[in-house]
Amino acid sequence: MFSDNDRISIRQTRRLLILDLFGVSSLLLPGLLAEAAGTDGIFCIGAGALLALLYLGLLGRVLGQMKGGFYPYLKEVLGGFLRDAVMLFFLFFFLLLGAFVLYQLTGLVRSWLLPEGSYGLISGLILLLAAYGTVRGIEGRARIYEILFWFLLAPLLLMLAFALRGANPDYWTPVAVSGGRGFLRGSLTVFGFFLPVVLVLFLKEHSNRPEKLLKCAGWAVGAAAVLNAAVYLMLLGNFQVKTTVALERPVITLMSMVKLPGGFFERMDALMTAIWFFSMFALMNTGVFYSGHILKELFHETRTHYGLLAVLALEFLGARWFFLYPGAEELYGSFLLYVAGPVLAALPLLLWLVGRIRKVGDGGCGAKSGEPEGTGVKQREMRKGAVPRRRGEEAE
Amino acid sequence: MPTAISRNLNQNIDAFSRLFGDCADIKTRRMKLGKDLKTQCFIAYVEVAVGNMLLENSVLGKLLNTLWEMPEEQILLYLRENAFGISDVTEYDNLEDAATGMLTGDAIFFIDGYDRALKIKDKGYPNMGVKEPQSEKSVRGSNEGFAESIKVNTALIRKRLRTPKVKVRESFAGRRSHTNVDLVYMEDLVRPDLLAAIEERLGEFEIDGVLDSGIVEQLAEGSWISPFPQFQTTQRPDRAAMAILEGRIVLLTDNSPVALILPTGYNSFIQTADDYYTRWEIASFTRLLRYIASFLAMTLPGLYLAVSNFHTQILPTDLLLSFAAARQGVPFPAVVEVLIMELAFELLREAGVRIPGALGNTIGIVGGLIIGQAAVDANIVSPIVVIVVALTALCSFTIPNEEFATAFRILKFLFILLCAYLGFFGFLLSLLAVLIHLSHLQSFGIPYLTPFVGPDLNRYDDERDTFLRLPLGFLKRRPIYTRENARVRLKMKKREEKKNVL
Repeated sequence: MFSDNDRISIRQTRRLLILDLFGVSSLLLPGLLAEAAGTDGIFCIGAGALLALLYLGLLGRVLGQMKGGFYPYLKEVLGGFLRDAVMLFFLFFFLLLGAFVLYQLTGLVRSWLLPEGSYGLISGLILLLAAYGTVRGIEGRARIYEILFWFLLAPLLLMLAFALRGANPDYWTPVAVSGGRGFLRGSLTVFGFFLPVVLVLFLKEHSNRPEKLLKCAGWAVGAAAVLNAAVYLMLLGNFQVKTTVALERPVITLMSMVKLPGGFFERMDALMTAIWFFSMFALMNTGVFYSGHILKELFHETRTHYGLLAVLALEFLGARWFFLYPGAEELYGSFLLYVAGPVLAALPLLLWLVGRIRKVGDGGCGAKSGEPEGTGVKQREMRKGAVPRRRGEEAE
Repeated sequence: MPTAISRNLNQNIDAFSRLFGDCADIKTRRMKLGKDLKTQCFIAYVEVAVGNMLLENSVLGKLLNTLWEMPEEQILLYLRENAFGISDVTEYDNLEDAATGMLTGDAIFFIDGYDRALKIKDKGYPNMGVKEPQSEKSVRGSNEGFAESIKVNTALIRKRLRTPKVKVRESFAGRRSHTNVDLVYMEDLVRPDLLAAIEERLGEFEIDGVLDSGIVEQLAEGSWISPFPQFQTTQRPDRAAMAILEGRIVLLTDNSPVALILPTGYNSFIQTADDYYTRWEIASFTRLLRYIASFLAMTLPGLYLAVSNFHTQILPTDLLLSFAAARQGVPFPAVVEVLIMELAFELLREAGVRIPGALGNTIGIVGGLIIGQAAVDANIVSPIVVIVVALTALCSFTIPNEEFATAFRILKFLFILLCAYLGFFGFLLSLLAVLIHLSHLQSFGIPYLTPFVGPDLNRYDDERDTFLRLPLGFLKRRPIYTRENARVRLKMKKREEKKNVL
């Protein structure tokens, strides 16, 4: 039948990526950008998005060499040992990403929805829900965000449109005053928030039309950049640079102040928090999902969920670490800037070059002829004759 | 090991009598046939089910009359060559099958010297007959509802779809009940894998008795943990026929006036037969109302608790003050108030169903009014809670399918508890949990949230019949349930061409 084939459509991929890129960035970027580049932050968003598109171009080269999943490709290009090393790096990257977003999400809930709430209880409940969302694989995740997409975006666009009434265009100027260093810092920060586009490497094996994946990711980057730019302009227009820097999550403050014409509600903060709650949950779920996926790959786990349990425990501890240790956020920023950023930027280049030297992709990497495509786990399941989750259901 | 039917009638009678010893409702009769009354025969039947077997106008009566006037030596030859010329005759070669055949409500006929038993159709078991469906009223459509006899029900579908492409695949379920279970589908529209999947599921269980389609539903569904039904139920033959035209399968169970439709999804449960009989504007408006109602039926009491206990800043001050004034003197926390009223309402609903006849409706109205007013007067609950609970109930009644509405009624308590404890965060958690659950849920391989998910699989056509029901002229393709190369259901002749023809 249709489902349980571990494949998602291009529309689902695009929506998933937009929410992954937009959630945390819209919440944290404005403050960081205003601090780094002030009114020039809007150009930083453009430059950061451009960098992300260039990076996508590089990822496209790698995608061109991949015939099946990312893991078999890594093995073919780098060999078993280096493949495991790269996978461990990605495991660490996704674990930290998930933990950081969980920490932010818990903070969001405690700031706007449940100030007296226990940190452990809130993050624990969110993690449990993430685990539930993960157990049925990528299809279930994609469906959730395919549904939520317009329910989140429509009120956001509406609120942004109403926020425009209060915005003062004078606050958007002067421009080109931040200096090269500030502009560079701002652009790299934006690029850092768009780094999850690296997910396209993992998504190829799940896509029902892999040839459209790159274009779809490009659209997602573009949409996230436009939305972030709109949010940034509204914030500057309403709060100016200094207040934007001073506020912890300025976008929610702005939304809570917007008055709808003829509106019944006095304040919209609790309602608008829902938008960020859902979109940040998407990114955290991505962290949990891919961490679990990589652990499964590394330990050849096929039917149990021990890897997922380990991921949940690590995410919980990681978020707790961010909460308890005051310098953790800065440390994470440094990790992104000095380790993850350079490695993620260099890795596709390295893979592509080695792939070219080894002529990977010409003879067919990943799935050899006659073998099923996909990850090692999936191949093992197929070789063992493991049936899909429900009887009588085959991939269409 | 089945007992073969003997040529010796006495052996057959002995074996049959042993099989049905101490069965007072099984009537047997020995007779002699032929001009000289020398050929012995034996008839067995279930009392009441076969009452007029010897009358002139019954099949058996006609057969016996013919055999009485026939010379003995021609009787066996006549039966061998002409028995199947008589309508509704089935031949059995073993006693067990003959007994099962008789228990379907027909007569069994043995004759000396003939090693076969004939099942001769009669009026069958008594049943309620065709009546108006109780739970799916229609403003414009047919008022016919399914009966309790499976044969009547298949005929009601066949009456609406007069094509040989409608197939009825018969099977039996229940080791001791031998209940007839029919799969009705359109041969060229149904997906073969869907048909194979339901047949496989029906073969996966062996139970002693199937007394209603609800038993088949629970045993054949994919996820027993979900409160959401994975088969759609209907009491309307026109709804069943509509489903068959969409390439879906209708599962009928004998003795049950409720048909099961598979596969199904959220959108299918919100649709009613009337949606397609009325103009698209009205259909779209009511459809939209039902979607909003399904959301509110689950969330409204929880939202009230979240707002009144945790996020009072959302509400305008005047409204907030009137909320506070209404709650003055109520000794319970808001969550207890809501739970008391919800439970009282559930009790009223249950009592209304169990109390016979018109009294049931009266209990609902009188109980609701009196208990609600008395509870407010006694300061047990505030008027605003009565309004919230009543509005929630109204929303749940708006959902067209009872089983589907029940899922929301149950989930409402999850929302109440989480919102009471965690406020709007609890609301978001429960909403996300329900959404994740629904996005995981499938009905025979079709995602439950189709066509909101994966609409590209059917060229986005299924989206035309969701929140809004576009004009019928736009619904040219069948939904995704249909096999892939048979999805065109409407071809419009161009108006110009039509004018020329006229």
